[in-house]
Amino acid sequence: MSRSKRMEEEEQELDLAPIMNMVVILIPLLLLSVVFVQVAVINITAPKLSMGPQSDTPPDEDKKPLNLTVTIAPNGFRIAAEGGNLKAVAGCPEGGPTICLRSDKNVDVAAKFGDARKYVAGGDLKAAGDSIEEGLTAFNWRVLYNELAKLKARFPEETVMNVSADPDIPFGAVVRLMDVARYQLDKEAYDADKAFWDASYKKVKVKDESDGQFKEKPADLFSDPVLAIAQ
Amino acid sequence: MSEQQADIWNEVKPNRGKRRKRRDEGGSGSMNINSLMDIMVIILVFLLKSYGDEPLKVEAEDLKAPSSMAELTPKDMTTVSITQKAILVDDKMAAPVKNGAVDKSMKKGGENALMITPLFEKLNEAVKRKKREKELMRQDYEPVVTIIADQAIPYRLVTEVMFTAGQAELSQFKIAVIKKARPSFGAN
Repeated sequence: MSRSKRMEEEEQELDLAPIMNMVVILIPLLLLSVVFVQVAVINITAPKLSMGPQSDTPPDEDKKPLNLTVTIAPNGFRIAAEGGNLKAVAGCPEGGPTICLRSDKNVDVAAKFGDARKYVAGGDLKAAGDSIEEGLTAFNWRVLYNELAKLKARFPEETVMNVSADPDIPFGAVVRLMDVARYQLDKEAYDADKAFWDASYKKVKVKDESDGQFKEKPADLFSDPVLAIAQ
Repeated sequence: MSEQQADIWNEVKPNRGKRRKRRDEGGSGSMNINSLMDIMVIILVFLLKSYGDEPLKVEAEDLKAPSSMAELTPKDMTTVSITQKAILVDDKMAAPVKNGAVDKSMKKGGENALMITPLFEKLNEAVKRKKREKELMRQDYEPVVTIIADQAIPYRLVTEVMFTAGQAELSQFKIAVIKKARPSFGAN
């Protein structure tokens, strides 16, 4: 009997109030500091002018190298391959950039990027981001992909692309260019923008060197961007 | 169930009834917060975990990395952040940035030069530190640097930073981006 009596006394509940206090303070604190963004990285090779050790292998002598360079300018993309600039695609003015801006958008890219700089100076990063995003919609990414896919069909082994841009082009545009050029999509060419952005990557089976299993991987387009110095 | 346990069980039950009654009467009884505690602890653990595994800072008041559909996961390495106000090496100030460019007095050889001298010094220090660290841990040193740049930074400044990093024997670059799904880019 005496035993069960003592049990009854010990049955008093643990005082959880201080723990609760601490937990209630910790949770908002952590919630505030936590960033719910997922971070990824893009591998790129150094600008050509750098003196660091180069990982480039010399190109094949007997085949004419592609030497693809895509330059972003406020009036469109300039594509250079096989030692010369490509001519303007159908629907773009002769003598201008290879791929001009989209005529249906009617966005003044240079002005939008200028606005972005003004917003940044004023400390409004969100507005600057929106401005850049608007400017980027004017570029004809779909036609760029179509052109790159054509080049890829002629040079299936090439994966290197020199990326360049006019000095004032925001960095976001360069990253978008690398996104479009990195992998092949299901089709070689797209006629509609919606279909282009909704398309998924073309998958190829690649043997994994670590375990010898075949794994699905997006097919490369020009997945090795080299950033060139803006002149 | 042993006799003793049954005993306790019987003891507890009427006790509960008593307590409830007391609360009904005077309201001085304790609430049952066990389940609440459970939830809180789970949230706490979850938050602590997600707090820990974010090696790169891609968003701040003067920095927002561009969005991309890249897939590679970041690793711990030397980072250079280019924000709208400063260039940072491993979160330490290297050079101030104004209107998307560094002051020409910081560049070796005037306005059109590519080399940013204070950044070069800081990078050299960071490389040395990293090399020593890797040596102690008996791992191979890789000359990799992650660049976190604001999306509105002019391309010119990015190339200057990359050139300077190249001078500091950092030859492999990774660009940190915020992951986004592909269709979202064609939304407008």
